[in-house]
Amino acid sequence: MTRLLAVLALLTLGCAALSFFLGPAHLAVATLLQGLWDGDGLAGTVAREIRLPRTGLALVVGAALGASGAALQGLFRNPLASPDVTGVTSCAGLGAVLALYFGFAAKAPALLPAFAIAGALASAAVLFVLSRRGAGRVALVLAGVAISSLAVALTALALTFAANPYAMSEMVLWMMGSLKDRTVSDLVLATPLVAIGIALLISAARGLDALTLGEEAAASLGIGVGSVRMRVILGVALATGAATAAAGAVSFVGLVVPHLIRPFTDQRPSLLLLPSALGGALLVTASDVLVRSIDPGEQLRLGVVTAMLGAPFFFWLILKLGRET
Amino acid sequence: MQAAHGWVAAALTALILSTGPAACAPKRIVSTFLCTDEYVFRLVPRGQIAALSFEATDRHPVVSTIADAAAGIPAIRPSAETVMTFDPDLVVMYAGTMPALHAALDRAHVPVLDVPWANSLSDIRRVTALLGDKLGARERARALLKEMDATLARARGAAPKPPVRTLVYEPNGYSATGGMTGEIMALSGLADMGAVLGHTRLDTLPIEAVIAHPPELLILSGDPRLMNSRADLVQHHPALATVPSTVAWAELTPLLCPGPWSADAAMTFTRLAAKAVTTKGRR
Repeated sequence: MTRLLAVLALLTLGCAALSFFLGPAHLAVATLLQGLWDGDGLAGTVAREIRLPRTGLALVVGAALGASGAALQGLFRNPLASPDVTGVTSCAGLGAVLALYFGFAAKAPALLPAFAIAGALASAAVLFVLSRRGAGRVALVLAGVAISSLAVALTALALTFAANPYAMSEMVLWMMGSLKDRTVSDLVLATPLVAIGIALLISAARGLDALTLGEEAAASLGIGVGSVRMRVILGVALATGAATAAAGAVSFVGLVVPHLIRPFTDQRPSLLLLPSALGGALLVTASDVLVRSIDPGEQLRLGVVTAMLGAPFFFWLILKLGRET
Repeated sequence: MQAAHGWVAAALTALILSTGPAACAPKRIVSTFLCTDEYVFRLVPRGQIAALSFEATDRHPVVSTIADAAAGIPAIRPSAETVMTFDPDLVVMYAGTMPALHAALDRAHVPVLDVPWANSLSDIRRVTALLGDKLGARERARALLKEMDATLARARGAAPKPPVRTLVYEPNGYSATGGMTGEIMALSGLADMGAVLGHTRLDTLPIEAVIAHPPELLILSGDPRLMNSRADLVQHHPALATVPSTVAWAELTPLLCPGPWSADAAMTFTRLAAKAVTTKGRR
């Protein structure tokens, strides 16, 4: 476990460094580090105001999605669960769109993640109620598809009525995600919310392990099942909501990462949370580096890359599950 | 005999006048696109305009230069049904826009005038003259061009030498490069940095590239109060506040649609160029 964490941390750090040193200003590594240290001149502005928030957000957003995916798969005991498949990300995007395009975020920037978290919470709550009523693996995924479709439709409706000429053209941002031109404020807003979200998920780790035995068995072990569920749902809503408000809907990270990490653990959900957070950070940072390398003009969206990696994986997963059942 | 000659002359004059541009002029014109609205409104008397597109008078946000003046003229979101409701004798469309609407109007035998896109000042002269002919407003078209030339001449006279290295930075990080905007910038004494940076009209320019190659004058195009889209937020990025340039916000609505009114942007450019020169002198 420690070895897995160390390897993931090293890879993530390497990718973060690559992300930080890559950009159109073509500044030397030493110059950028000096700029990051003293904040002076062009290197200082590039390092502190542009590269740092971008790399930082890639790590934060990835960690949020990776950990949320692992927690949802544990809570619903469903390998297909993840923030995007269950519609949590789309609802967070809807909240963010309402906050941004109808002027709430301009009045108070914190309202952007607040609305996104509210959206994520609403969809997670619906899924929670459905799972309590005995909805199976497929039913939950179908519910997620329905929630996601409704959220995307409402997002499109909201953008249609937004008094902004760029609203409709930004639909692609909310569906595909981007880290372009984010600021330190975006990072400062997202980081504590994601940290609290992940902390809530980790606090529910033991409970998630117990839930793998079933709710009754978990309760007999003295686990407060209701409290575990509440912490996971709140944690996912906080982490995914804040991440989506900052970057839009970055798909498939929450689905793919826990599956990639699981073979290296003993399959317990508790042991999957932290490595999935690191794996998510690694995947999003690497995807963002890829986006900027392929298309320096950045018309290519981050979510395009993660979806191109994630969608084939999703098909493979469905076929695998089909063979198992 | 002389009286008979008089009558014949009068009849001939009446015939010539009645077959001239004004007499053939369409009387119920519908325009379907912002850039044709701007032309139709300026060339044709109000009574001959049946409808303009909603963008002409839209206030959320204002994208037209005639938003106030055209208030009261029916505004439509063009579809075959809404356009035909007005029983137009001419529909003015921008070439290449709304192909389904165009096809529907063709099937219904509604006359359509396709206005070609203008990408330079000479294109503007050609398109304005063409519309003057087709809308029966030759004199008005000539007057618009004369006014444009006078404005451009004033801008040329006020242009600083050497030109001020300028970047027009738009929402989303787009940057005006080349074409009509480039021509107007050049004659107003602005050297377009977008072109120097190898930037094209279709790409966005990262903020990092702007601050790595700071212009003397950075024009942020749009409304500084707007902060309700990711596109607008780009222009409020804190890194832009650090560039050692003269930074100014400017509404460049006249450049949105190419036409004789686009020359008005030249006066904005020369004003900002003078500001940049003064600021540079003080540094």
